[in-house]
Amino acid sequence: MPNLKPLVTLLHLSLTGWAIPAQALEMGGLEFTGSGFLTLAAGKIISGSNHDPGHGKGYDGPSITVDYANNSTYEQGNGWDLAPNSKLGLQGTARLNERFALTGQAVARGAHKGKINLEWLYADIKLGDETALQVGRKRLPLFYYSETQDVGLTYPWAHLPQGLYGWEIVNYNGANLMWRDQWHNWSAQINLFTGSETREDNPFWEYYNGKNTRTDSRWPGIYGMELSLSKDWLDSRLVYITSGIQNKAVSNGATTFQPSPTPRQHLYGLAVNADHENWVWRSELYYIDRREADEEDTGYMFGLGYRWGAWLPMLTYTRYNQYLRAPTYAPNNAERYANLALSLRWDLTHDQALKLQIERWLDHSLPGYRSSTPFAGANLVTLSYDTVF
Amino acid sequence: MFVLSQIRYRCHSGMALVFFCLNMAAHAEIVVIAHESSPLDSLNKSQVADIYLGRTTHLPGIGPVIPLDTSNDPNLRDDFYRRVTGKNSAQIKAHWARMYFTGRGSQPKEVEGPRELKSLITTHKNMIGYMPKIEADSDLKVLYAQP
Repeated sequence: MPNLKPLVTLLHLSLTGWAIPAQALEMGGLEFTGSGFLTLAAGKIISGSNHDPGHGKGYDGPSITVDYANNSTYEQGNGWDLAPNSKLGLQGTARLNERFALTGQAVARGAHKGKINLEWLYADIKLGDETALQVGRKRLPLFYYSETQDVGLTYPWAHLPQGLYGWEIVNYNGANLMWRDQWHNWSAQINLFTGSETREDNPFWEYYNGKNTRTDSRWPGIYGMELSLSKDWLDSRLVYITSGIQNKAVSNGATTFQPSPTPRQHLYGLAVNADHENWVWRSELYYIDRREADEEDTGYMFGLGYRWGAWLPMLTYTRYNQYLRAPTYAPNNAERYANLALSLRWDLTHDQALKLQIERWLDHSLPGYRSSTPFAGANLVTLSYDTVF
Repeated sequence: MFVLSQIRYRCHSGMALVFFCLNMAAHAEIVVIAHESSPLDSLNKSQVADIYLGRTTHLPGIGPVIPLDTSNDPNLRDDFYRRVTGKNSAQIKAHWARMYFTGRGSQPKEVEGPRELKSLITTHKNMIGYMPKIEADSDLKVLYAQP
């Protein structure tokens, strides 16, 4: 019989613990704390179609990608599939004193066959009561939930709306300065950050170029700022990020990043979220100016839900539109899609949730783009379990 | 038949008693307290919510304010958060998971009960806690009362 004691202990901690982090240990003047998160998600493509059934790029039938950054893709041929969106993350912090701490977070995900990635590793230096300088590797705060994209318990859906959260770079190595303030009864948090990121064999590009291809991505010279404003039941966020964008199609024989010099992109984002009495509202929109690369992108998401005790049904619509221009691109060519999701979250306890989500992914790409993607739309059902411990 | 009726009566009476007690518990007045020597004089509901959600950790003219949570009475804790922040315990946990896993804050320190709470706020003038009004001694300063 397998030894279930560690699992029982873990579940007991999860069921009874209130505080995060769950574990603390003091040794040699250092305080160590540990915590983690788990998502077990099973999904199945229940129907769909292909533009070109013979042009599958390694995908088994109609598919839906729920996390572009990790190419977490459900394929019809795989039936019920646990791999794409299941993940386990562990986070540890070593605190030297009130002012200095070192934090690391590693995540193993089914989409990468359990391979462990270091998503966070940073030093936190408190400069004042409300000011912190953080240096190291972090999630790039592109959108409202970007930094907790792996922690399913923090959002109402089985996965984040992929029309917003689907980008090739989601981390950066650098530094950020963060401080809080109170402005006329509004709680404000400002975050300034800078850094760069190079991602070898980026899973994002396997969606577009095929499963067995390799493309490296680079966003050099990242500069950004975000402003979060909260009051009572309202939570809002403004973000601006600029960076270079380059790729290296290694499978095609490329040995240097192109284009060179790198064009710059400018991302502008706004999120307005509300939890007023039993009503839940989530909305987010962005515009990415990549005109130096003859490209622009827009995306938006609206979600409305109503909370009945531990139950939260929610309807969410997401839209992504790409605009491509000459001379880089041929006319009538752009990627566009929409997603309509009906989700139901059930909070089993304060730190465990079950979610059921049914969604319809509709391809609205222009005719010139369709040869680039094998998918023409699909319907997906997902059942997931999320916890933090 | 008579016995069955008696049992039903007792069950109904018992359930009524349970609901009555639950009702009383849910409506007990909760107060946010600090030591009588604390520089804080009063807080409004928004300030209490901001402090307990980690949106602010200091107040102008006062300095740092450290909130304490209670671990021995989950009903009191859930009731406090629901009344002050409008969020249930699952929403509070999701909020703190977001704060913690992004390096933006840590959940309030937990204390076992009123005795430890009183002991800590006596020695740390910038700490605050919450408890049923009936348990608040005269050497504690009531900063906010949630009816």
